[in-house]
Amino acid sequence: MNSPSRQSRLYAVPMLRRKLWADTRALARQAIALMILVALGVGLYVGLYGAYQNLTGSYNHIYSITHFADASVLFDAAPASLVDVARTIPHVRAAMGRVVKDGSIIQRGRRRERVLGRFVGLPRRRPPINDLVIVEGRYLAAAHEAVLEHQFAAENNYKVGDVIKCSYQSRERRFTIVGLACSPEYLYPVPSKHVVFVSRGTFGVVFIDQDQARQWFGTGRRITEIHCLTDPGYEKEVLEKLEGLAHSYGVETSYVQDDQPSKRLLRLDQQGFATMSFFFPILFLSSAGLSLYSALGRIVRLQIGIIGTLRACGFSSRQILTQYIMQGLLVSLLGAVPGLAGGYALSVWAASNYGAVLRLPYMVTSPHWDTLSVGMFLALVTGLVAAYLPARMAARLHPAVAMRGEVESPRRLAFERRLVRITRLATIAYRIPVRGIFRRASRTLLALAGIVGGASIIITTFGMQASTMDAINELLSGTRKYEIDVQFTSPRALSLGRAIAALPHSNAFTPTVSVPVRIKTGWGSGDVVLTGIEHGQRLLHVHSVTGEIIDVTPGTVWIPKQLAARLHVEPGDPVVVEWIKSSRRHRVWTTMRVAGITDVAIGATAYGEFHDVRRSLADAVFPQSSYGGLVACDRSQVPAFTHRLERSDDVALVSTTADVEQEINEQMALMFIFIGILLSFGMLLAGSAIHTVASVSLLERTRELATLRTLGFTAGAAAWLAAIELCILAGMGLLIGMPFGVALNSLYMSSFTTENMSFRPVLPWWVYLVTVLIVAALVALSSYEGMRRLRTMDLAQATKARE
Amino acid sequence: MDAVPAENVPALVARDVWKQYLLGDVTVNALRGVNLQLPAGRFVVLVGPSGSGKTTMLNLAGGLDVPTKGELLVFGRRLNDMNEAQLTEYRRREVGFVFQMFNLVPTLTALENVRLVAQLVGNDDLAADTLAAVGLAHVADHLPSQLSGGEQQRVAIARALVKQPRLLLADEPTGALDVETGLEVLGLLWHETRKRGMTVMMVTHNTILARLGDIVVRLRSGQVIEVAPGEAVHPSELTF
Repeated sequence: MNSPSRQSRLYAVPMLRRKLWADTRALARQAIALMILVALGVGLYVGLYGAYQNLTGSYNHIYSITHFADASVLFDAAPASLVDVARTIPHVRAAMGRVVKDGSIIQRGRRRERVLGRFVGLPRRRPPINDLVIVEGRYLAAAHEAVLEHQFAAENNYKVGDVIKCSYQSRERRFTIVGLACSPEYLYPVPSKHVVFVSRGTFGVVFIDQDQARQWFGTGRRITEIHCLTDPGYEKEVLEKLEGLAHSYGVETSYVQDDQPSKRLLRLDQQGFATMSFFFPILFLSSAGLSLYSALGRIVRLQIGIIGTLRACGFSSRQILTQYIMQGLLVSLLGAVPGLAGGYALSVWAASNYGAVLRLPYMVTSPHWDTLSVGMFLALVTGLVAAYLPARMAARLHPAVAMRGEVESPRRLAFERRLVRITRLATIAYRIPVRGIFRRASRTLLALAGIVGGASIIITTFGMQASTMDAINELLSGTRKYEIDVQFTSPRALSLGRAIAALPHSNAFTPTVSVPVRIKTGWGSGDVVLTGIEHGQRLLHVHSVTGEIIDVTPGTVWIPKQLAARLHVEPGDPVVVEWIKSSRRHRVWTTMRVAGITDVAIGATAYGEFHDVRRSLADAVFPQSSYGGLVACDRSQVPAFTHRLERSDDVALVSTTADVEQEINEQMALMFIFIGILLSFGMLLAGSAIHTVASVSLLERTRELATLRTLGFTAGAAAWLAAIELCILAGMGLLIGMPFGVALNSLYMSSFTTENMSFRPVLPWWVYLVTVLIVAALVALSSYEGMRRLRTMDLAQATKARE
Repeated sequence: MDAVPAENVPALVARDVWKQYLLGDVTVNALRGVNLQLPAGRFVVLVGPSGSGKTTMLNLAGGLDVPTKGELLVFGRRLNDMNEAQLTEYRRREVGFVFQMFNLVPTLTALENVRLVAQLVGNDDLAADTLAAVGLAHVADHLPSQLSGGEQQRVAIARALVKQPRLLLADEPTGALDVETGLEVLGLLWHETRKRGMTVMMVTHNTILARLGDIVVRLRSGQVIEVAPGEAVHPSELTF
């Protein structure tokens, strides 16, 4: 004969499992809502972190096969033999010198006839560092051949076999395109670290034969860049040595791989995915955990008699504990499975879309088992943690007490008594919802967590959109009061300005001069572009941190706020302004006083007085400085003006505000999709929390509400009492959620702050209004659903329901 | 249009009342052609075994449910044709309920539970007195969880009385109480309703309690098998 314990193992435990499934089925709607929350949390984690891993994997693969440089130094010009010296630096595995110059690509008949071109000289055999991935055609084999960066080629419709016309300091060359390539240096195609927005259509990188390049640029055997591969972990050490080596040759910039301009911008985006992959899942899983805790607490309360009976029948407290923990785990598991599948799909979708925008030649989309495992683990931990307290409560019940029903704790009673006193000011009917809020702490916490989380996501998402749009609007409308930005080939062409100003439909012209400089103080130094503008000009409205439009005077400089903060400068402080490529032999510098601090979200430009900047810096370093002007004209005349300017030999480059706007809009399209997804998740979170609370509230009060109806309250009046509680909770949630969202938005936007970007966390009034409306709509929907159920409630049955 | 004096109008008239439920695919006849006329101002006890239809009868009288067939009039008002709003108004004005499980609002104190309903019908000033009448003035500020079962049921009776309904329906009002407390509660109900001249319909399966009624209605299998005058004894005279 089997012992009782053996029998219980044989028969009773399977019966408990059946009870487990039956309980889950009985609470199907709630269980499904919980599973959705778990699925969303897990899905978002796996999706966003997976996307981050996919992108990182894709980039790393490209970096690896192209031998992306670990340390690079860019300078004015140095003998090619410097590379041999670089090779002798300890931990340098390989070094390569290149000559690289910026000029313009002239493309008659295309939408933009003159755009910024970067000409990179490469050896005939594949370079050992910063190699290319040829996506179409072949590599260079002759002097007249070129390989074109493929994103620019696609934007401007260049094909293999086409001829591309390039101009460097008015010296033009024609190259036959033999290949289209992806370069590790231009996955995110920006010309320098000072540029934030991708310039696919207006920035083209042309890889040409290095001998041809030297001849064309007139640099002889001199080089302008050295790139090194280093032993792992020695990048910075090598970079310092490289900087020392190039010091005499006017270092323009230097960086380790992670700080390379393109990679740095990619990392910002990756960082966004990584941050969100933790932040949003935490909100969802916390909400799921609280919901589970609340639902299981309710099950335990409902089954208190059954628990007592089971205990009386001989089930151990451990078996009861396991039973209810299993309930939590089951819901988590059932939510995790679709969450993992959806998350994987999201990771592939997000990475593929993002990769398609960058036209990545390789895309890693394989499942990341580590992330999937962590996703599953997170779901199970959520279930376990949420189920533990209710399960422990069930397991600790004394059989006799349990069979008698629920017993209120003395502490709880004391609290309720206090609550009765506090809420006496409300009318009797309103005391029910007000006290109901404190009746079940878990329910209230769940509602608050859900609404706070949802409101935060909604505010952060709208805030992200509003802040970005604010920065863009400031750039396009607030700052730019001109339509065309023109760069001339020489200072002599400045005289063209008068001719431009005299053209029909031209409203105004103001000259500009730009020099890349390093601003130095006792605290350190920072690199910016110093732009000289005329005193009293009206075409560039740059705002200071105090809100007024800046004006320039000789001997002073306006410094962007990010740099001012780093250099600890204040108005009136003296600073050294030095041409960025200054070397021991050729140092060009001046001392200026800080006129003030500018507050510009996008771009890091210092401003000085036009003639002052010319005299003290620009003229001395030409052609490393650029001269140009800003043109205001009738909008309808912009294309005609642009074409006219682009055809002039004195014009190096023309950029229109419309072009910038178009580029920004193209980039924003992806962001709007992203915002839409986040907004949906925010609404889902808030909606599911509100709906769960409304459902639990209704279920827990079936008898109470039915009694009210029996006593003569209408279905609407009874539902209204439940709705008031929901409204109060929503109000409380919004009161906490909105400041939390504001803080989160500020924190989130500040994570994008770099030397070139400083987003103001903008939250216009409509963000608050929309958040309140969304939450109110969710409350109204849930209340309507509650009222519908109350109307169809079987009063006779419901008055006998167990609370 | 009540031409007949109120005291002469029967409290309840049931003419061939049927109530059918669907239980899965099976149609259950909870009431099968009940014919019944109960005079106003009497303490009526409905007795019968489980499934006899007594609670169904009570639910129909209280406007919680409507007959499948037949005609049901309470104080001359036909319940069959009432819509949800009219039924709510009917419950609010005419009927008081006392449930087996008390059904008090757990977040309201004893007095607040009574006032909740008192305010609904505009009798707020009667709430405290009614609670005092059931002997619970001293626990007016107590929440239901702080009261004994008997006290909770007394609050429920006060809540039913404060509306001053013409019909008070009690479904096994002592079902959740011990014998002694149950008798106390019944004593209160018996006394207070008689004092106020209310018609009471009390459902019980306990035949001893049937002795309380002025009229005893016996049901079995959904049919009235007997309507007989009761002994109308005071609950204190009952022995178990």
